[in-house]
Amino acid sequence: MADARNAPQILQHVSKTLTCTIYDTLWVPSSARFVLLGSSARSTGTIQVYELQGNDVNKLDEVDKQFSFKCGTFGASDLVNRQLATGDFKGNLQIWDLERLGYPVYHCKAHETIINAIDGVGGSGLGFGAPEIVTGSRDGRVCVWDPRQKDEPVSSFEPERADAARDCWTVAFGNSYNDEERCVAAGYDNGDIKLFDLRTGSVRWQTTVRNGVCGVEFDRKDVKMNKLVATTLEATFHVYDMRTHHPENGYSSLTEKVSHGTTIWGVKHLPQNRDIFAVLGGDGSVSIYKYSYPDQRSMKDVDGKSYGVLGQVHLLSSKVLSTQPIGAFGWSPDKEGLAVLGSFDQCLRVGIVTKLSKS
Amino acid sequence: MFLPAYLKKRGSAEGLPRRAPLAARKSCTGGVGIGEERARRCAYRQEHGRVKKHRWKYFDFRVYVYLLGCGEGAMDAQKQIRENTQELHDFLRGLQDWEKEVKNKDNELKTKSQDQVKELRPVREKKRAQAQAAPSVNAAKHTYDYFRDKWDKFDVDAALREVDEENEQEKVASKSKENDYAAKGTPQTFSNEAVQPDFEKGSLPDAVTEKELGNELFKEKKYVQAIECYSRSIGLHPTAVAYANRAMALLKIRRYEDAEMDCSEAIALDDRYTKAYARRGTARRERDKLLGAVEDFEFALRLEPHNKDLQKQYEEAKALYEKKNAYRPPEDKVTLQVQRSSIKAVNGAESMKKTSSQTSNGKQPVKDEAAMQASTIRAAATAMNAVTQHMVAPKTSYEFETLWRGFGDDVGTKARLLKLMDPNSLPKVFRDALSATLMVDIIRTLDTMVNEDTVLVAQVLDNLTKVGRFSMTIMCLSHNDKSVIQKLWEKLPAPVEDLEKWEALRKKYRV
Repeated sequence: MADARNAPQILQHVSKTLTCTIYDTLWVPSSARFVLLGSSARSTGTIQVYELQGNDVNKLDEVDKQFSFKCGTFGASDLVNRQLATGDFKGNLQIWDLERLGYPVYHCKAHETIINAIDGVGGSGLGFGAPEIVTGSRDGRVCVWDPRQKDEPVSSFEPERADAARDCWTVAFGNSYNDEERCVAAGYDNGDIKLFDLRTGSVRWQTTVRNGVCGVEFDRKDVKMNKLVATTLEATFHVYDMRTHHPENGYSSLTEKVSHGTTIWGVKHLPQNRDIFAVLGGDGSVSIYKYSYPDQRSMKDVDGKSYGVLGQVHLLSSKVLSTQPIGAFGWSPDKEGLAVLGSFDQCLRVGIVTKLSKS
Repeated sequence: MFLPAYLKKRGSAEGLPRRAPLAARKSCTGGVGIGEERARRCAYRQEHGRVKKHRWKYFDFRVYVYLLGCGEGAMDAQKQIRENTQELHDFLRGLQDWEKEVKNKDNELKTKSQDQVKELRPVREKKRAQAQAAPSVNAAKHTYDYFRDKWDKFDVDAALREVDEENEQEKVASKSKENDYAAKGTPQTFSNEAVQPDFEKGSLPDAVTEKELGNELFKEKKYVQAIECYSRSIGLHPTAVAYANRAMALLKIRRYEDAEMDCSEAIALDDRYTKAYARRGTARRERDKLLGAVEDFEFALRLEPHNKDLQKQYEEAKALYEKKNAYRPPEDKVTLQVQRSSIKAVNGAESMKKTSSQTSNGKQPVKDEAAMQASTIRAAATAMNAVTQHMVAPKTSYEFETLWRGFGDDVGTKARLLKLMDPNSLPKVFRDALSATLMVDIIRTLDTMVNEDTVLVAQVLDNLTKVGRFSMTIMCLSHNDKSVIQKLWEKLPAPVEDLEKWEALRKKYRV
């Protein structure tokens, strides 16, 4: 059915059914290739490299590894050696060179249990500071690694008591606007969102939302932190304005409920426009939202302290692409509107979103 | 409303141009003749008892548009759809182009060498591994977690025992406070057993009690434990005194860097706290930051000028700093040979002494300065003597004047100079730069020479008139000066020959 609205259209360009469970899909920067991380039927990990060719994708490479992969990132590698950092179900952090997938370039046992989320920053020559990878795991620890330092994390944020540890479900880098500053936002299963400051090694801010946090992302990693979107269970997501910090109330937020009523599995900001983000629904839908700024981003309260003011978020477009939740989504950093999706129905899709530059 | 043909119900002729009669229009009835169609309908009615409900054979976007666009909007909707499809086509075409482009770029990058990779920042310094912070600020949302754990751990027997000893409350409260400490920046090394403050009367721990306990431990020389107590006190209520005390304890165990930081914190809380400055000065001194140490002690002294200890520390620090920078005050005095103008030099020195004593600021010893002045004067005098020994005829008026002035009141030397000079060279030497005072001075000197070197004097006088602007200068002379010239002329004996010339010369001098 053709769309008669003047809004971005979400279309499925290529669809491929596979025999493995897809946990993460990422574009290889500066190329038409993407990597798929998953788990094969025999519970072994698989890394597959595909290339987009016209109306189809070609599988370029496929390797099987011992443990299933959960997540990966290209964030900490530079453009020449595009190295993929992965976290697997047993807590191993590995960095792979896509040309030589036989042996990892870096390997360490980051956590005792599954690494739920990974993020990288500092490699590709755009941002500042050392290349770093952050991993968040079920044991509640958030560790920051530098590929040049073996076996020991550069920073580690651990729960005080092991019995009070909550699973860390998601991590994201942000505020990396110069060589020293960098922050990590972490979301936990009890609804905690904590902002760790890597320069001082302390918790900069924390808050709790009503449901477990499935996805968290800053709108840009390499600028002074502007917005943070956190998505939770029960179809809710929160947008925080990170520009203005109120001494008592912290950062202001707005909450938006998505109509489908299922878990929002993640949020991904469009690399080409930081006010547009895609939100992945548990009913197999992808919704594109746009944030618009208010006239005044900060105002003063009765005591004269400034607090942030949130604008509005409106739904640009939404489309159900699959019957199972879409767990993996990756915007292409080179082509606006091109995305690769992986859902739990073992189906790999390449999607197109039109009219993003006009909205 | 105008409806396109395909949207009309089959068979309806509304708005259409007149077409062939119904019987002939097979296309209208889907390829079946009209008679056939009628027959089918009758058969159906007989079978089912009702007219067959018409079904839309094609339910497609056109219908959707029709439903959507009942009204003027239908055109817009159509237009939108067309635009959308157009955009999609454009996107796909763009995608193909992009693919080619990016594949080229990809291949280029693959072949790029390693050296072109940008240089990376160094590995981040290991920060003290911070514990995940204590339960969140908002009690309503988070305490259920925390208390639930506490409840699980609650040992009934132990509690009963503790109630008997009346220590239960205090222990629980202090434990809860300890958990907060991990998140605040306290020094890393703790002693193996945490010191629990003993409470006698069942009072809850508070900042003041902790601090006092820390003081006690400090007196007993248990510095590490004292630091812990101070840290607890700071955690409960940061004060300048607590920070300063902790700094003192840190100094005792030689953790100078931490001590300095604590002192800085104390000063940030109270910038008039003398002890904090003094302790920071000590810390800095030990860390070899001598300039900072001197500054701190100085500031502390300003706050408490009568404190002897502070003064002593200040002096020590300053001595260290100066020694370090190898600053040597002038010890050697330059002694010069004094020959003739020694008296003058001494006088000069004395006058210098007077002035210097008036202007001294107490830092430098007065004697040194006066001595220096005297020595320079003596040096100048020697130089002058040297010049007078070896006199050379000046070639320019500047040279002449410097020499002339250098001689001061020494008429004899001046006379010698004049004798040395060739009178005919005078106009060239002076050009037009002979000032009135200088001229009068020359004439005075000539006055003394007139008895011996009359001819020379006459020649000098003659040549002086040839100096530029002489007549102007003569006119500008004061009465006294004119009398000097007159005296000279009277002294001069008139020559026997060239009387006219002499008279003319005298006239030029207007005397």
